[in-house]
Amino acid sequence: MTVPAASNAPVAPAVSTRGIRRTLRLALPGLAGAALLAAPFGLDAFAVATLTLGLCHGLFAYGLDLSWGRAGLLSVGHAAFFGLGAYAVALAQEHHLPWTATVAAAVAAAVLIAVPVVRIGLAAPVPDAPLILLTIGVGLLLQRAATTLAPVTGGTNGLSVSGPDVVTSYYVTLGAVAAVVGACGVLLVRGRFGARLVAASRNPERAAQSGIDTTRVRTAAFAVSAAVAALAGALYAPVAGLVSPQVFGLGLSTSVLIWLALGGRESTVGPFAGAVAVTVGQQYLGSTWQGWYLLALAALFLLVVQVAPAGLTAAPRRWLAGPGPDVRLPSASRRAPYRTASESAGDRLPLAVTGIRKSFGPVEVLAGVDLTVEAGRCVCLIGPNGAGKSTFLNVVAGQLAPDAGTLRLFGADAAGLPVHRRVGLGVGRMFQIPSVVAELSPADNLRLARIEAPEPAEPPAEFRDLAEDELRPAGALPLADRRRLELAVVLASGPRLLLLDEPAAGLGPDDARRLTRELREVNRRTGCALLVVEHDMDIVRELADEVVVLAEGRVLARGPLDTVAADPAVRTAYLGAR
Amino acid sequence: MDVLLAILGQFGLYGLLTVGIAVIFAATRVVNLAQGDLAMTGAYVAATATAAPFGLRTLLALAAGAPLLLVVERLLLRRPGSDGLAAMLVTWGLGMALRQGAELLFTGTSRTVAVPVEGTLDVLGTPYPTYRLVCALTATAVIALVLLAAHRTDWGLRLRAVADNPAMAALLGTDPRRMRATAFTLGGLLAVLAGALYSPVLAVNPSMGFGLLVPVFFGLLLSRPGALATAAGAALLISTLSVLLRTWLSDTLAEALFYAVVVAIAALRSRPWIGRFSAWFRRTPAPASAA
Amino acid sequence: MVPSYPRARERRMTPALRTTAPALAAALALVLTGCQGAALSDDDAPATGGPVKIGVVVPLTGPVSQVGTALRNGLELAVRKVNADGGVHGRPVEYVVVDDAGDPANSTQLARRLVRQDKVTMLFGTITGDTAEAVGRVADEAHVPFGTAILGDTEHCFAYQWGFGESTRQMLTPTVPGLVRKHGTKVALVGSDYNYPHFYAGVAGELVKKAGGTVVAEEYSPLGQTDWQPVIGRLKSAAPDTVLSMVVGADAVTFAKQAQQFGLLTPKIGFEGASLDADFQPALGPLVTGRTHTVRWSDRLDDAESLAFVKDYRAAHQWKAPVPEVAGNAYFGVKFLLAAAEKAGSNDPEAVNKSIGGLSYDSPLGKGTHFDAANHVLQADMREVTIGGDGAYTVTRTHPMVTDTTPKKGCS
Repeated sequence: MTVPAASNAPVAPAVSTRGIRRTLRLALPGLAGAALLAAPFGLDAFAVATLTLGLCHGLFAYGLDLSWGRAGLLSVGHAAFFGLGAYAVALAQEHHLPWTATVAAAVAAAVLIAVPVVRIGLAAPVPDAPLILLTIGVGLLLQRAATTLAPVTGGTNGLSVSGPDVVTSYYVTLGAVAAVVGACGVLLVRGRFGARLVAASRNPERAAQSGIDTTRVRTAAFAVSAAVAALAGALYAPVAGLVSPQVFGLGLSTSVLIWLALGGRESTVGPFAGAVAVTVGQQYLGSTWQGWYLLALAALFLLVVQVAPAGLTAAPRRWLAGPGPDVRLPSASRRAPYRTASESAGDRLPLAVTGIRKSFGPVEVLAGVDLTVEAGRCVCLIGPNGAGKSTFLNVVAGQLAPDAGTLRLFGADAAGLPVHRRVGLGVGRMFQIPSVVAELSPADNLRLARIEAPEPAEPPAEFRDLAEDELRPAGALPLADRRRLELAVVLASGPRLLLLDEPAAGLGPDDARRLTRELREVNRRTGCALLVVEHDMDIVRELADEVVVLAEGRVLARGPLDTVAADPAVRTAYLGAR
Repeated sequence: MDVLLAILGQFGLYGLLTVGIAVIFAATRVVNLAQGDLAMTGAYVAATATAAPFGLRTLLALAAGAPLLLVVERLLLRRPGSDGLAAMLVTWGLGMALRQGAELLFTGTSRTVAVPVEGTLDVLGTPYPTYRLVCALTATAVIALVLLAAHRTDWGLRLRAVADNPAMAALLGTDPRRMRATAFTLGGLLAVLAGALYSPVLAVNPSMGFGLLVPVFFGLLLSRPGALATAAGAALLISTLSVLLRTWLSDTLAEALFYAVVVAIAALRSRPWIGRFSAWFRRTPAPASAA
Repeated sequence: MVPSYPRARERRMTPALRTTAPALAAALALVLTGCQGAALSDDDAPATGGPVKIGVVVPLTGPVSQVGTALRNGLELAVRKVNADGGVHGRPVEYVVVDDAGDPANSTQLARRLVRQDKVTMLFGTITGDTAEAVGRVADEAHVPFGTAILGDTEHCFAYQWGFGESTRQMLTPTVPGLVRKHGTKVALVGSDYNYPHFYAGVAGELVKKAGGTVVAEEYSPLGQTDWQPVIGRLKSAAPDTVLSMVVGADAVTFAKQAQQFGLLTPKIGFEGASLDADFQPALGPLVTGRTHTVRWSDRLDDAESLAFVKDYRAAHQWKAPVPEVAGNAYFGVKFLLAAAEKAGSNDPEAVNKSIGGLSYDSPLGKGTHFDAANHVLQADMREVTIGGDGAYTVTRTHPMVTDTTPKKGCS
């Protein structure tokens, strides 16, 4: 398998700019690292101490970025995890425990709290609200606990922490930890995990249809984020010299949001830059400007959100990355994917359902559907509005769990399988409104699909233009192209059963005909079975080997279009006459 | 009776703020994190313009708040409007600026506002400060008015339409921009009103709004977007829970338990079976899945 | 690097807006030059030949900024006075003010900076218990004396930390018997829920018992409480004769106001505590009028030194309200510390610290004020003041030399 090389992309405007970019991309991290290494020698003691605190805050912000920036999960109480780490060190010192054990316990506790919190959040249709509520709640609860358990935690006065010489040796320790965490983070987000995260946070629906376990990926990112925050807290304790319940507070939780928003999300440099800048500013300007400093910070923050919503480091980073959409798949994951041996679907029956029922409250939408789709067949599902066609498709794809009935995909019992596992069995899905990762370029969309595919397939020649389109985000494509891209994405994973929900909706007649032709072609060439919900009878006529009529949640009739159309029961159902 | 009155008093404050934040959220999908600080602004108007009688000061606070809110909406919220998160950050920055501005202007020392209606009233045998009652009843009346407007007027219909489906509402001829501006102003004004009304009961200082944010935020998150009645209900739930817990238990324990209960409610609510249960109550099939 | 008398930047008034831009520019320049200058040497000993330097860590932003500003103002005037009188052992006194915003992490950083970079002879300041603890620890590690001016006790005693504010016992010992005698034996205790009010309640309970009274209720509510009705209801049902309150900050106002609205605080019932501090008088007005309060220093003291200080304070800050007690404590505290430095005859922090421990000093705070070695509490007079309708805290009685010698751990 070859992935289109970068040179296939439209020629960059000037080779020299690209050269400069490449040099800078390599040189800048080195320069920044060297500057940080040199800091203890060139700066006075206090400046180094401030930088130490800044780095500590930076690590915290970096941790938050893993959840807010990378996984798209906003946490407004991240200080809860930070505080756990800080208290671990303080308690170790106060009660003469080994700090390694307490910090490990704090990191574990952070993960243990984070996982159920994010699971609960992700169980909701929109995870933001419960997640925000839970994170704030957990933070406030921990703060209350730290205040109340005064004999252990020292109450509001907190616990003092005396550490090694904060100015020199501790700076080196902190820098080393930050570097290690940063490097691990980079490895993590540059690899397949990062690619999955990009898709899962932007378009969970499509990501799941590409075979990504979005819940697991995002949960993992959130848990790692909590762990990094706890680690940052542990490092912070000796720098602060005192750990009080304030470390769990909303003040810190919101400060870290500001650092991250100012610095720029989804970047390694951004969180550190934002946190260091604000911390250093606070220490140097805060005393003299006093209230005006905070006011200026608020104004700056408002300005940044207005003018550079992606953060202050976003523009230079974008420039360094060269032309293309703002969001890209991590470069490391772009390489040819390794393949896992897939269980061959063989000739087993792609789809067999019996007695599928599904109700929403008192409304029974599916009242016992029995249906089979044979390999290589193209079945069209038609029926009047409200017949339950889309619901049925959602049940087959795994978006909805049926109330009753059996569902077998390629011979395997699939009733309880999540979406991404069904994709692994060979199910592909196209939505009524084309669902692609709008922020990624079409080429990246296809790459992503191939990374996850059990049997990655080379995109057919007619999709070549999309596979080479690196420069614009897929969201900017016209509808017809987005539809084609979705098809190409779905085909890239080599499905054996393709579910389509009104594929031609919104397309002009020419585009609709082209799409129908392509679908027919796919069916013929790959032997992939199709289950299509469609209203347009012209398309049905062209596409269908067989037509199934669904009405009032039941299969009313089945057979070739003309036979079905002649069925009096079908006519009644459509025309509503009795 | 004591407890009921306490709940009523608390509900007036939380209800105004929560319904305000819910109005804004319905029309703009923005969680207004400056809501508490807007209340602080209202309280400061009531605390500083002491030349005028209290009622007039409250109106003054509203009159001063409206153009401020319009300007904020126009200048700051138009651009990132499409992105709820960015706009939320804007409101956070706005709140920070308001707090800091108040501290620079008025210093951090608390002020108080003289109670406009002195004395206590006997409510079914329980003596209760008259002003608290007046204040709670006014607030409840305003909340009722807003709810009535949301359910009985054209504007309310459009607001609910925008909340349900902004694109569809735009197609049906509702100017989403104007809707957002009015909703933001109205929601903000409810906060300003809450601040002004309750200023004689509270200590007026720059950080007073910050503490109000958490319960109000909880209220918003527990309500259903676009359904203002659920927001008022959530505020009532929050006030009841907080007052009951604090009546039975010591304040410290009550606060911890309050957070625990709210977290538990949030956790339960997102379980699918609860969702199904509440969907059954609403008697509407999930729109996306029924074709 | 830092001028001896940084112009007191007025934060109270709007006219300050006019001078802001130049002030900001000047401040920026100051900071930048300051950063450059300090780069080179790194030994901790202050230059013994130079001026005496005081590092001041106070919150100038955030919820307790008002108290912090008052403390700084008092300190500034003290330094000015000492310099006008010829300085300390012939050298001028300088000070560096830093704003910790009430966050202990900042306090630690800034205190370390003052010690290492500015090489101060002594530290002064902090308002809240946690920041005091943070700076106290830095001072202890660096062997630099550190003075506080806020009332109440710090949790830990440090060998290098000295408190000029009244201790809880000094506050309550002269007060409680009088309250019990005048209002009755049933005493209710209420406080914000953090360490110090619990400590305060412990001491109060002990003294109430000694005076023959009983504690009938004890309530705590988290900081930032806006609705006190449940607490007030519980207090009221205990039918106390006296309420002792350590509800602090903005809550002190909210609590007192709501307690009055709900009929808990009637003129008949005794009331003493944080709500009666001069800071809250403008907000509470009639509620506290006619009540008595026990303080270490009041702006109505009629000795020449206090009068001069109050006059200077009012002139320097266009101050109309009562001058905060913390400003007076800071003023006389710094003078105490500088007198100790004078006696030590050196800028060496350890020598000064030793001198502080042994100094006996006459000031409006009392004749022969000195620190007890067992707890580092300043042994000094206390005053009973009566709050007038015009906000005047008139001294109605002096309790000479109220001692508190209860030992604390860690003082030496």
